[in-house]
Amino acid sequence: MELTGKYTFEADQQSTWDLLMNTKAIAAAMPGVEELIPVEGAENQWRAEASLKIGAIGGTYTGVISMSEHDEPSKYRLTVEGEGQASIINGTAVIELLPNSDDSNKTTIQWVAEANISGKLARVGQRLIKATANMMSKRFFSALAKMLESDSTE
Amino acid sequence: MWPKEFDYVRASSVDDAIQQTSDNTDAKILAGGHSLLPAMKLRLSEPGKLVDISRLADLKGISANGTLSIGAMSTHAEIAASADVQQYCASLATACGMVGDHQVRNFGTLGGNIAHADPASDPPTVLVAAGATIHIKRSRGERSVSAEDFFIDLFTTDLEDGEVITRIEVPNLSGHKAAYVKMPHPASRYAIVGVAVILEMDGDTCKSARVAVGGATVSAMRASGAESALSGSSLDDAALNAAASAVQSDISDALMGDVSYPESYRQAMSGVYLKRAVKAALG
Repeated sequence: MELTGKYTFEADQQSTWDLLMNTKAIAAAMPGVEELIPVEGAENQWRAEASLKIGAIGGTYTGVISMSEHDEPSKYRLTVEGEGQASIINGTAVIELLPNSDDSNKTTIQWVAEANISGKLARVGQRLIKATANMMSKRFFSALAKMLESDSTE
Repeated sequence: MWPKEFDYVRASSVDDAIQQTSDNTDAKILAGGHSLLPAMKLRLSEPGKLVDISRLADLKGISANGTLSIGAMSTHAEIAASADVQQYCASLATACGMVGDHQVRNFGTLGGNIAHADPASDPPTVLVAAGATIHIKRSRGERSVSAEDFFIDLFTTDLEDGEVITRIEVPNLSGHKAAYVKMPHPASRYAIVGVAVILEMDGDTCKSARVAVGGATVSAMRASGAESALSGSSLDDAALNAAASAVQSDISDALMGDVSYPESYRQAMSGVYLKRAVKAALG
């Protein structure tokens, strides 16, 4: 399943990049995640636990998040391998940071992701998976964007 | 399939239910149980405690006195069969009569349905078009919110933990022409696209229109572009075509899709079903 989307941040490209590389900010923005714990012996790899609730459905997921192919400040790859609720969730996304040509204080993040979900969630939630993934991405990026706003007012 | 072990209590009053769920974030309100229990049996939902409000008399009953007041624990079957609902807002009776099957309609409640906010469910779309008001009770008192503001996103509503929907208020639309039509999923009968229209007519001219879309979108939502296209027109082919294209742009940021029915298809169908809804309303 392919997922695409974009989100515009009110910040220049470098600040947006710094934010996306800040694991504390990422952990705080990821729905249901408390913290990212670095995987020992690996670079740019973190273990995370998320407790998610969407409607009547809720549960705990565990997984490994990694970042690679860094091309600062314009592009990187984010990979997630997780499991929970008798399901396996794998996804990899190429995330691009596009500076706005009219306004250097705006950066558009654009992602193309390939996600695979198998197990119980895929069996019973097929009709909702894509919309759920989109909602989660929207929540993640809007939470990050809020951090930018609160930073600039300090 | 068996759910994980949980505690069950029958709330003695609405206030009791509010207190029992406010104190315990692991507790869930149980209404008709026809969305929650299947999720629990699949172990996709594992609340530690269910607080049953389905028998609370305060939350039952339908009355029509200037506006229609539907107790949150009214079942879909009761609403579909109610003479008051049919008189005040017949398309709500139609939508409730389309939910699930007989078993679901006999147990499932309108309050539970909107709290769950399945994007493909029928009643939310009609409630948004009808300009319904959701009345909510909480420990700090009562509040109300319009249906339009109540449905926020996929399975996401304005309702917070420790709050209980008490009743749904619908204005008297008996003088209006209204309809709810949907493209049902061939297997589940869930709405792939559902459109509700409510038209205020002055002779052959549409004085004002309210349009809402569900199924195709992450939640039931107003389609204001389509409303403007219909308002003031004689609902001729030109107006219907304009409204059909307007509704597609109204919902373009909120579309959802799946393998069988992608976003673009549902978007196109929203135009088709809007036209059908207007024609059905005019009878």
